[in-house]
Amino acid sequence: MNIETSKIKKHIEESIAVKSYIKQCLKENRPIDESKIGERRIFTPISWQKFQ
Amino acid sequence: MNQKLEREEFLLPYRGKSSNNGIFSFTTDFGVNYSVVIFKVETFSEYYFGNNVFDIAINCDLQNPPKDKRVQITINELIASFLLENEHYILTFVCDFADNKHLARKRKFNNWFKLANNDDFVMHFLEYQIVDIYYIFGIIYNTNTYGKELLSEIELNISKTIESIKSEK
Repeated sequence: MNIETSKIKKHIEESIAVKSYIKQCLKENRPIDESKIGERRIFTPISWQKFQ
Repeated sequence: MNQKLEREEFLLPYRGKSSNNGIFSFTTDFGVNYSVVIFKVETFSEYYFGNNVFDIAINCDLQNPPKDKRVQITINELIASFLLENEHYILTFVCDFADNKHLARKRKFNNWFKLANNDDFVMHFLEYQIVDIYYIFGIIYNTNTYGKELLSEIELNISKTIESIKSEK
């Protein structure tokens, strides 16, 4: 297994950018536009239903 | 066991709600609003573990929220129940350094993880200084599934990545 360094770089950079974007969305109470979160898709764990 | 610990054992996680856009949010006894989002990351899809990489983002609406054990318990329970859904899941996170509180966030994650006291999972931090930014990258995974070689491989590759970022600066 040899992970391309460019992929890890992308992962770290996107992670930072997405965090900032989400924070802004929450602050302004607007929905998250999935086209703006790179190669990420929002995932809702089924197990979290028990916390509702 | 002292009285404080005894009381903490009976603390329950906060109840929250999931919005249509997948954000899980809860409000604490102190009126602080937290939101938790998990992202499936496609970046590593071609690797054998690639479809199981996720990223977590935790936000709260107060810059300096009061200490609240129930928040720790809630985050722990959310993370543990997510990881238990599938033993192949790998959870990653970057400690936000925008406000220079990344070390505090690392400590917080460490405390949360210790509190969870679950031997099935391991959490590691990989830390790198690039020029004036100190990156703290966290990873949590099931040791029964991946073993230590996964971390070594990722660490090696992250080191290479950091070197390449440095050389670009």
